[in-house]
Amino acid sequence: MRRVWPHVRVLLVALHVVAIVVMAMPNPGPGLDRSAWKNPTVQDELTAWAERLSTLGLDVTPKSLEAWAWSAAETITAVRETLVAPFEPYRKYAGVRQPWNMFVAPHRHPAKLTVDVQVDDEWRPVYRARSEEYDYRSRFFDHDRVRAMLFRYGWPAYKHSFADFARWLAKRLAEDFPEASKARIAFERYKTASPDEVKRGVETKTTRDRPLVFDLAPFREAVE
Amino acid sequence: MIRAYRRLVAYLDEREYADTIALFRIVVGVALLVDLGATAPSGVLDAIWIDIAHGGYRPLGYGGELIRLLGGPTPTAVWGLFTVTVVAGFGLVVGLGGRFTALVAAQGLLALSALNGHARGSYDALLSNALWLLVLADGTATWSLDARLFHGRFFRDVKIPAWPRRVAILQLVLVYFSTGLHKVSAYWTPAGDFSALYYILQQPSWHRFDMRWLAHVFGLTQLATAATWIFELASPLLIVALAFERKRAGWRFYRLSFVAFGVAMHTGIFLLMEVGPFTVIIWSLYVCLFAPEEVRRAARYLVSSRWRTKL
Repeated sequence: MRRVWPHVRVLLVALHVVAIVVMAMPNPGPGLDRSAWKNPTVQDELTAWAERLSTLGLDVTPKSLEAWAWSAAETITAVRETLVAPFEPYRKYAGVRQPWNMFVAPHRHPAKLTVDVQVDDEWRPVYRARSEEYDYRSRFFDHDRVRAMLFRYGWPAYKHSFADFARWLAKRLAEDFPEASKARIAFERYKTASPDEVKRGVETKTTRDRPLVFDLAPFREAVE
Repeated sequence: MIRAYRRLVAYLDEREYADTIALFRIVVGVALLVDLGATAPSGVLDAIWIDIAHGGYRPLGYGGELIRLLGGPTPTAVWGLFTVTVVAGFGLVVGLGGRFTALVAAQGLLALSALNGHARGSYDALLSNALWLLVLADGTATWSLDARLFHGRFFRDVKIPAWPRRVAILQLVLVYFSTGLHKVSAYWTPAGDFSALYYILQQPSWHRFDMRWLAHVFGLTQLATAATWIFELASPLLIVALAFERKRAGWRFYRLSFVAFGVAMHTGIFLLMEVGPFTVIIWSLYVCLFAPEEVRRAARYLVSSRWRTKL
């Protein structure tokens, strides 16, 4: 065994190294979502690159660049999936995922969670993301796992999961605000201000996105 | 070809003092405790890792194989596994149970973090990779209760295989290089005025507080964006630096510069952004950039004279 072990070890270490290198290849797969590509952040990116490539003498429009980028992303994803497939059991059981697509791009049109309750026909804010004034369950909302979850739910592909979360939150609002008759859980969307806009004091325009309104009485009845 | 293979066999046969891997184990254990410790008291665990039928916010299905064996994502199974994983985290910090503790911690974290893919971050993967390396390495050979129990001393002059530390360094490089390759946004490049960090720090999902003040130091954020992007894409040079460090002193300077820049970058991220325990976990891999002799020298310098003789 002593004579064989060094050779077995070479094989095992080589397998580990090859597995993690292959899995660390760029993975555009999670971003292959047509609805996400319609987001203004993605469209702004395509416009910026098309403009820059045009200055280099290339005949590129945002539309043609989008078609090319989609096709390239599909090809890369297919190649990556083929290469990764043999290592799938090792990835799954040893926990050697390599998802390093971190901060690939700034989200210029972020979504900020807002929570309001209705008391005597008047909507009152109880939570605004990162607000010191409206800080209902802020310890929960500030947790990095909840931040990651809500970041995802700002994208249209996650609308059903956002609805699940909103319903769960409405139950808590029914308990925590016994005087409230309704709850409204929504995202507030805006374009992040450029440095120049901040210096000029330009006000950020916000729009309410995907508001979900819940009648709180049924939640209380269910508890009773 | 045969010569190259023999060199590879000899390379993987090399041994070194166990101090660096021991310190790596301690920092990974702390990272696991930081990760899980923040999840329980804030009510996050009950919301995200327990099925909707038992009080969670969304259906989690059967919850993965380990959770299924435990009865599904119910409060009993999830809290039970959570407790075992936390205990394993303490075991890693004090160095009890050898590789088995690391395996328990790794499987516990894997099962918990896989319960709800919407509420996990890259740090889960980084931590599970680090824990797997501790399954492969002899992490409790020194600086551990195992060493005290089985050999009579907490600190031992013992050598272990060197390759796990080298694989940990490769892992660190892969994290940076891969994330650098993913950064295809115009904002990371001159095409977008190197404004990525400025705009990322405006995102409410990640920043700790209002960051509009950065508009007044926009130039600095541009510099940080360019430096981060270049640092990540140039990270494979670290492997070259370590390979040639013994021959040319300049490469040692590169390694130390890499550490200095990386520590500064992650300190900045930690101060300005909420990214969970990512900073602690990545620092555990930075520990592996130091040879055991360097760790021993630093430890001797830092610890009180009472413990010096034992080291």
